[in-house]
Formats: sequence, structure tokens, C-alpha cells
Amino acid sequence: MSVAESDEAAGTRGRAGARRAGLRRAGPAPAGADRAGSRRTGPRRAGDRALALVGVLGELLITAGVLLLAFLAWQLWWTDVVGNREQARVVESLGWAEPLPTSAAGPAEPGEPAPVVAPPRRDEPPVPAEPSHATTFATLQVPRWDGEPERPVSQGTDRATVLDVLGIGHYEGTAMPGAVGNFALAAHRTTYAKPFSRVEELVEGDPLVVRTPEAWYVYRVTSTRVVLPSQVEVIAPLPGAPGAEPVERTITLTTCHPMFSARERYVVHGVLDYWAPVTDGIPAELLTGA
Amino acid sequence: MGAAGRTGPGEGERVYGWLWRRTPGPAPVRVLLLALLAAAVLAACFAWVFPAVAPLMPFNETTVGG
Repeated sequence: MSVAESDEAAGTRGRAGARRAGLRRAGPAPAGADRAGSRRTGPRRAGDRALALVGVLGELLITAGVLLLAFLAWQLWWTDVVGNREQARVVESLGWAEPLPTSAAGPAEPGEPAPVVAPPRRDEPPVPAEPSHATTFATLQVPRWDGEPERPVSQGTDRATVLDVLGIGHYEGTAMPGAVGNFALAAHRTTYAKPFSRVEELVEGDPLVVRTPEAWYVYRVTSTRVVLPSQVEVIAPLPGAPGAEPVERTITLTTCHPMFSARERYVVHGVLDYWAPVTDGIPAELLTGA
Repeated sequence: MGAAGRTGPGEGERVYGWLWRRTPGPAPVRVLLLALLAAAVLAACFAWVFPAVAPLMPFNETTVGG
């Protein structure tokens, strides 16, 4: 049955019906019919209205449910799609992709240049200056996370300008790569391309390979722990001892824990093993895996 | 005719019924139009609404001290 039919029927059947239909069609009903109609159908019309209200409420709840599902799809899937695309583009646009030398004696097989393993150096490494906010100044590769792409590392740790769009963020004011102190990084563990999603796979001794335009910095994991979000001492220059003078060149990764929760933080500490100029080759860790 | 009985929960002036009646054209055209409308709403959510709402969600915090 159509609306027009329903409205016509209601219009002849009393005040309740007229009021309902009159929202769009102010059809005046005869007074006599009005009184009789409302006496006969009043309670029933009220029940109908309640039912209609429940129906509208039901439709709105279904809509809300569908929108929540859509939000989940966006958060759990789409932010990864966009984030991975964007972070790959950022790494690409750094233009660092192929400065790697091939064998100094020339490639043995044409078209198959063998990458040169950079000899580890343990003297004073170069330390880049801290860049401006949201500037990408390094990349991170973790051989343990086989299959993960090279991720950009950018200045700052706020979500809107760094973590949600650029991947890994560097805590402002903490040491830069190679410096004595604590090179502290944060990244998402779930959603937004989740650079640190596999953080729990890291074990002591795993290499964390940081690259800047000039140098490789190969850190090795020394410990992992779970802390509360308030425990900022993990990013102190000497991790765990705020105010103390740092003696080592450490790295710290922080991300959320447990996954999909903000209750705690998963923290990985590491210490610099060696560094090498990028012109010397690439670290053996990237060639052989973990 | 028993309008009161028949305008019950099935055919009242509800959200999607209202949308369906307001959509012009024969049924296949209406289906297409409403599908387009749904796609547009979803796209708007992905582009603007969800990114705006996400920071208010109680997860995804990864930093210490923040």
C-alpha cells in the first residue's frame, strides 16, 4: 500500500490520524467523525506510533552498526593501505635508493653487481643535526621482520603530523642516530601501516639498521620490556635513569601494548654495534638477514 | 480499509522507507541511485569523518609521556 492511500485513510479517521497525516496534508476532518474516530482508534494509534518509533530506532541502530563496521574496516585495513603507500613514497622520494657501490673491481657478471659489505667501523660516528618537525631524516630496517619494507623515520611523535602519516617518529630532544644518548623512536603497532607490528618478535642481539643520507648505524637489541605509558624514563638519555649522564649510544623503540590497546607500552632497548659510511657498501645484516 | 493495522511496523514513515519513496524512477533505477548514495556516504566517512573521529578513540597511543 502506498503513502497516499495510508494518508487518505488516516485523514478520514479522526484527530490522531489527521495529526499524523497532517504533517504533510492538513486535511480537515468532520467534527463528528473526529470524536467517534478518536474514541475508537485512539489507543491503537498510540500503539502504532510507538511501534513506528521503535521501527525508526531500529533502523537508526542498524545504521549505526553498519557505520561502526565501516569504521573498523577503515581503521584496521584502510589506514594500512594508505600508510604503506605513503611511507613507500616517502622512502622513495628520499632518493637514497641506489648510492650503493658495487664491487670496486667492477661487477664480475655484467648486470649482476654484487653488493659490497660495508666494513664495520667503531670509531666516532657522524651525528646528524636534529631536523625540523615532521622532516624525514632516516630510515629503519629490521632484518628480523622479514618482508617488512624500509620505513621512514621522521622528527616528532605527534599522531596527526608524524605517526599517522609518516610512520616512525623520533622523540624530539632525544639523541640523533650515532650520538651518545638515547635515539628514541615511536610507531604504531596496529593500524596506520603498523611499522612496529612485529615488535614482539625481536630478541636480544637482533640488528636494527638505521640509515641516514651519510651513514648506516647498526644497533643491536639488548632488552625488551613492557612499561606503563607514564614511564618516560625509558627514553631518558641513559634509559631507565633520567638525569644520569649517558655513556652509550642507545636506541629505544616504543609502541603500544597489548595490541589494540593503550594500556601499556612495549619498549625495545638497543645499543650501537657499529656504523659505516653508505659509500662503503651495505651492512652485512641486510644481506644475510638476522 | 484497515489503515491502522496495515501502517504498522512494516510500512510506517521510517528512514529507509522514506528514502525509497523519495527516490525517483523505477525500482532498478532507485536501487542504483541508493547504492550510489550509500557509496558516497561511505566515501565521505573514509575521507573525512573517520579520520576526524580516530584521535578520540581510546587505542593506538604509542608514545610514552604523551
